[in-house]
Amino acid sequence: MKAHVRYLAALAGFTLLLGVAPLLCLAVILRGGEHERLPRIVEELHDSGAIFGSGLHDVRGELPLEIVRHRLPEIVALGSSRALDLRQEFFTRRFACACGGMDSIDDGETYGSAILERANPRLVLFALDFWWFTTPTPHRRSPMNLETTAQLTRAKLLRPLEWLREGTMTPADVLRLLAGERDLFPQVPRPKIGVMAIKRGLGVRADGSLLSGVRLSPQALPLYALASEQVREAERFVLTGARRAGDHSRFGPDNVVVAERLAALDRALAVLESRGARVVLLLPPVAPPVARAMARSGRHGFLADLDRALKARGREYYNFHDPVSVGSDICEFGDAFHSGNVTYLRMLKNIVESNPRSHLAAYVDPAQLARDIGRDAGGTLSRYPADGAMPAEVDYLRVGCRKGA
Amino acid sequence: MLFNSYVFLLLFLPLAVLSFYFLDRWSRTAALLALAGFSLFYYAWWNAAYLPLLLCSIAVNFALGRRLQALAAAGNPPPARLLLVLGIAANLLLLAWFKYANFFAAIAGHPGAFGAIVLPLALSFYTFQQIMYLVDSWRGDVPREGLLQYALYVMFFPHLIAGPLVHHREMMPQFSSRATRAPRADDLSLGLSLFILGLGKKVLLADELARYATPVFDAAAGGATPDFYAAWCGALCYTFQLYFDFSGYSDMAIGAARMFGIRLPLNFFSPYRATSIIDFWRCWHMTLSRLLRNYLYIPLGGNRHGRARRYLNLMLTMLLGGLWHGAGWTFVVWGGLHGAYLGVNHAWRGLKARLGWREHENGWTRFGGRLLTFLAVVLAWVFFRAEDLPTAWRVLEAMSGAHGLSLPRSVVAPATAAAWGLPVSTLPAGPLLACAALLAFVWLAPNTWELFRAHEPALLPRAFDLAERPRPAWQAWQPNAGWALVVAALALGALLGMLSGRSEFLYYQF
Repeated sequence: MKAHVRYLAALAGFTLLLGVAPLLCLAVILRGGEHERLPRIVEELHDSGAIFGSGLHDVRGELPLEIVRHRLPEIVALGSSRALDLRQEFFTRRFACACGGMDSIDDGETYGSAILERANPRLVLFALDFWWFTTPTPHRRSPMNLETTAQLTRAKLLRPLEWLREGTMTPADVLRLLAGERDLFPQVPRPKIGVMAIKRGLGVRADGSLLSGVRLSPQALPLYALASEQVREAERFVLTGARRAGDHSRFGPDNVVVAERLAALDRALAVLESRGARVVLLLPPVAPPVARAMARSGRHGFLADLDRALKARGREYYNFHDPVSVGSDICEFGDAFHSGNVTYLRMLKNIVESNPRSHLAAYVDPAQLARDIGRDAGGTLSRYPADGAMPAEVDYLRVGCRKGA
Repeated sequence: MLFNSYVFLLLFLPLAVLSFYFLDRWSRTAALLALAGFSLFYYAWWNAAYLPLLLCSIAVNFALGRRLQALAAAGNPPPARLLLVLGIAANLLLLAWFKYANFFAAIAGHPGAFGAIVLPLALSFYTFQQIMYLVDSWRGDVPREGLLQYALYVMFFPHLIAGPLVHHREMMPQFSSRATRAPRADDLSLGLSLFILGLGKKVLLADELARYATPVFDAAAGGATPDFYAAWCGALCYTFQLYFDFSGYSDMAIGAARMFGIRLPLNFFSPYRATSIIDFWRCWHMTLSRLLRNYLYIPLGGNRHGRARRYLNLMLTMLLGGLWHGAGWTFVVWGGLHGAYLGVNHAWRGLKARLGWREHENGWTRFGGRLLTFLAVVLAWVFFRAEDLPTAWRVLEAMSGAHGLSLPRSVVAPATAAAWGLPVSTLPAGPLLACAALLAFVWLAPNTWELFRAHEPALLPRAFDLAERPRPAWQAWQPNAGWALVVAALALGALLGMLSGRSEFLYYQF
């Protein structure tokens, strides 16, 4: 009988011993604020000006909706991650960036409805990715569910071990985090929730826009290696659509605009306008070398077709595919197809200057936009007093930008 | 409340065990009452609305059983048989209403005539256990125990939902208030180890295999025909998913019961190691096989009325066994297939005996028999798993190669596959390799009984002559540090695995 008692004790002991690593991981996750509920996180973003960047959960769909519910904005930006650089400070009325949640135009109807269930915006800036319209088959995100997305799974629980192995976090970082320190990236002087925000200064602000604080640190150089390669090899990137060797993605040439995708846009517009909101359509820019390569290739005629089709929708529409049209250059880009805050400032200014009767005119101050552009031109980040003192951006694309100089 | 849920593992089970141990030192009856209370709570967790049905069923069957026992003691006057028939009919009607009403309505050309009927959890299990009790009461062959013991026989939570299908003769005496054997540390260590072994089978194997099997059958149910490789992968993955799911559940049930000092009957004995279908049914869901044999096949006449009648009885038994699993033609076909398999197997055995071929059996013939049995079982599982018959046909057609062959994804370059004229499957090679490894595992590794046999982990159904093979000492569980480390690792792996979403046990639906 004693053998069985000893066995039970050993079983309990070994379970605890083997459980140390998962328990430590759990502690890192909890200390990092990764497992807080989204409504609580959004409240915290508003109350303290914190940024939230999860290292575990994909909340691209749910977080913007929660932000919309909380902010009740008059103006909403809608689109993929490419529109995440639209900020509250650009507008004179309450704004929310419901961006990053849409992966395709087929998401538009669902996502538009989800926004209107939570708020009643008067103006929607709808940023459209050109490749949404060349996809032959419908593509939708999985159903949005605020409860299940943030669920802790085995893979997520053990993710801190991966961070250690990859070098995303060092043992010292882990110890500091466990000791209660939530700021391992002082270049962004804001409270931080989530491991990506804490360690890399990468996170969503209260208005739903993205702060890529990592671009302020030499940490950015290895992280942006792929982006810098894309930009340097714009020609290859454009002609093959390959973001890396062997990858055949949606950015390729010789595509055609698909009627079903335009119909999906019409359905999304009908939903967005169903409660009286005005919609302004935008085609966001790609980096100048990429735009030039596309123009040179002779295999991207579908862009002109798309331009015609979007004009034919009868809404206010602006094509910023080539950012040179607004005076932006590669230094104001995050990678081959993500522009920064400053390029968006230029786009907004261009809209109200070229079309004073634009629906947008009532929501922006052109003089302020001009001042902001003048202050931050040549980088991606626009800087306001609330951002605190942030260092200059590094030349993470390695194209010879003298940012903040 | 599922066995593989945190609330069960970290709250309910520890609380139930601690309460039982504490109360048992003071009063056996109090401990048994607490056990009954925990069992009712466990059942009510799913849907309290069906608790009255369970309680009424227990009360009525117990009263009926008592009356039948009294009549049996008086020599079974004519009303006894009538009472027995009424009792069985009442139980079957209850089951028929909840489980088969819409099935029979559909056969009669009125699909969905009775609306959506929710099948109360465990109804098939507790109905048949109580029918066994009534039949044996009429035979005067039941232990004389009270309502509490009877109630625990029916609703003891480790076996309540999905078996093993326990027998009153083996269970009620263990719940006797006169029993002096209090649960001990060895019950706890053995029970806990068995439980964790079962949890590991469920979480680490069955649920992982489901990730490959489910999409294949779901797609087929949606009208798509899987490719050759995907169809085989789906069928094989489901074959092992079902085995590890149900045998895992059975291990957990046996382990949980053992923590209270109660021994449940063994339910699995390496069925995929069987060298014939007859062997397979000795080793698969052994307690259902026992029930079907003793309460259906033998009363139908068994093998006592000639060969033709024997085959008919086998077929009827297996058809009803199939229908017991669910109200659908797929289960009927599955049962019919096994009835046919058993008929062929008995005929083959008879032929071999007449020709004197038994003496020529060797390792190769046994291996051939094992492989053939396994393939026959896999094919039948396709019907068992499929939503409906067209789905099953689509999968079987693909498995037959009727739509051509295909290669697993990532094994050869798409261009090479195209040059060979073989399409590339939607599934990678991994699942098939996993199934091959699992087949070797279930053929070679010790099963639950063999692992724990020195400690008599479960009751062995007497009717079965199990082919045990000698095992080296290291393959036997011992209460030592080495095994504690292995079991702790398994427990932790399973607990972490449960984070990725817990799934119901497949047999919950029956």
